[in-house]
Amino acid sequence: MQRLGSRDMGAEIERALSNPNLQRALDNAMATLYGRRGAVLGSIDFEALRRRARELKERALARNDELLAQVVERVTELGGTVAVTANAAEARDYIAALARDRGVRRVVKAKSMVSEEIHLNSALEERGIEVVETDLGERIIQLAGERPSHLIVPAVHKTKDDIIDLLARTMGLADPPTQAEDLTRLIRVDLRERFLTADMGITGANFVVAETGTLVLVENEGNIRLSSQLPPVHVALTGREKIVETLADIATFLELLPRSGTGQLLTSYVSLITGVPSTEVTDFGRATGETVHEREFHLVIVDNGRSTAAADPQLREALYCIRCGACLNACAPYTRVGGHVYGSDPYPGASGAPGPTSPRVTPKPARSTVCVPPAPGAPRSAPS
Amino acid sequence: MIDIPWLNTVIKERNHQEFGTGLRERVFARADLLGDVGSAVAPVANAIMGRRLARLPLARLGVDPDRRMPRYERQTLEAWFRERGPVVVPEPRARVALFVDCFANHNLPHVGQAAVEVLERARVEVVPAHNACCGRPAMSQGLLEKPRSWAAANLTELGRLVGEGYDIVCIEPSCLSTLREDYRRLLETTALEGDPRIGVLEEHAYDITEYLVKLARDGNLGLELKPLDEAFAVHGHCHQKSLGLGPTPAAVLRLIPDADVREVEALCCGMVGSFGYKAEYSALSRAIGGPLFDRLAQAGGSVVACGISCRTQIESGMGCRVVHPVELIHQALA
Repeated sequence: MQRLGSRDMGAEIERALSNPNLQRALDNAMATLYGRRGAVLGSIDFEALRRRARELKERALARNDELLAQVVERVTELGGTVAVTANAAEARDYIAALARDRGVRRVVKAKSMVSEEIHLNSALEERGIEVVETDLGERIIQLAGERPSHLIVPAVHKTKDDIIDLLARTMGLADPPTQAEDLTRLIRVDLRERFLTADMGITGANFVVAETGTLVLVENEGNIRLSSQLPPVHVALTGREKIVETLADIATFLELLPRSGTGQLLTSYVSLITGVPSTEVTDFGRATGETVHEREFHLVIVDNGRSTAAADPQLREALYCIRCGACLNACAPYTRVGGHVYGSDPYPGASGAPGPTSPRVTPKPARSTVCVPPAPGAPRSAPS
Repeated sequence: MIDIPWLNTVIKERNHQEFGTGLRERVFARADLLGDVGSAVAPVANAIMGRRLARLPLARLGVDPDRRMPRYERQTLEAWFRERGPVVVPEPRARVALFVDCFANHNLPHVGQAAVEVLERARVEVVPAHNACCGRPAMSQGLLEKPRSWAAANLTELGRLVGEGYDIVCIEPSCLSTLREDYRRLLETTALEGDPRIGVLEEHAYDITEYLVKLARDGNLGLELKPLDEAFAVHGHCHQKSLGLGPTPAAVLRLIPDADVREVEALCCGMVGSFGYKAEYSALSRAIGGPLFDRLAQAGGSVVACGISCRTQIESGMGCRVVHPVELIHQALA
């Protein structure tokens, strides 16, 4: 077996192939995901749609500096605060400092791959803050102490039986339910209380619109709504490549992302968040002309190697990705070994390899994947 | 749409620049040289490489010694072309320059010969293109220097042929995919970036099955075919699918009267060039092939596949013979 750097790829693959639960989980899920996407593409000119999306992303990335400035301006006008951070450490420190200043003890978190990229949870937990993942899949892997193995289905490597055992163990249940609906309800009830008592909500953003300063978020569980609207402080964390030019562009992406990601025409929830809700201050019923913001909003934009990749005509390709995860569902090695073997944590595959997602903030690959041989000496996971 | 394969290639290249290149990758990159040597000493090479014991030293290179290599043929496709001399097709309805790929040349010359004879029977003039390796084997290892110079040579040679009215026809789908899907990216950042001949080549290069289907659609095939008394289980090549040619191998078989063609759905055979030979990936390669083998067996009939990777993988995984569709069309010539 080849031993490259600190990883024995052959041994890791063998372990994945001989793990019956993993094989069963992948067998059940991957064909379904692949098939669902195929089923919804027939009704539209899919090639034209993805070409259009690509053009929009290319155009936006070419003007990224300008659009970033526009986002800062708009969001600030709308009463939010924007932090543009150069790397993972800066982004973590900003959020941790904000949490400290606001006396945050509990954070509810919607799904955010960038938060996985910058290892945000452990940074907050080290400071004594409770971090609660509220996306069902993310909550499952949080309870299991694992990392996501898929961009949109983070717990795809687990079977229902794995989850029953996990919940029985972590929630101290003698007689755990066995139906998927009941398991979901169990987590839902557990989360509801935490939503109501959280001091900060953290979300990602699928797209950020420069023209209006709008965040666009898609989801199926409603936890993004709750995370962004319930707690007194909302922090949205995203990469700078997510900025697009206009609100009209979003129509194209909303046609594309749910179809490619989950095989849906549209996700159950689409949130467009523009600024912070404000209330007019009244004095005995008379308008005073003043407004106050009901909640605080912070947009944390992460570079973490993205500018370097954007300046590189070859690696730039990775920044056009809308993170639908469809490439994983079509990847033959992925369907047999799952995402953990790739090592390019948290983004499996080529789009996770170059600088933009590498905690080493470098245009050179520090990551490894099944299709891309591991670089000798490359650490599996090295937060900067 | 993200060009994930190209991104993979670029990252592999950066890995080489940063960390150096292993001997195994250098060897797998040179299908052309391996073919030259393999054919030159074919009886000896095949006898030696046919034994597991002889392959054991390969383990030190990181190659799975349990994997059998494709056999080399003493008479290459090029030599066959030379020996038979030019063949005049009276009033040809089309002119084809056959892309002589490393594998058709050294491992499967009979597939190349079948393609030539089928085309000539359809009154198409065929000449061999004097092409270099397309560059795919080296590109797959992330070694791009040679492929860039080969691509330049091929642009000149194939561009000239197209200018003279020839269509370029490939037998190996992976080579066609390189010409049609990768040369543009490969030649970015070189003097040939955006060269108009790239577009010309993309437009005039065909897969042999695609070309026969095209001739038939144009009402031009003019082949008399006799029924073959067997069913065919067809596996589609990943590069054919990426080129939008998924249905063409089955379509070409349906030109055979009463053909019982069964298309088998699967993601990939799992071989993927050198991937399945690499020690750390060979078990994964076989695991990927598993569902395909099951479905092919379930479909029944002779197994049909186009690329050398699929062919080798299915032959070793199922222990059966695999044929290219053009071999069957050749067999069905009345």
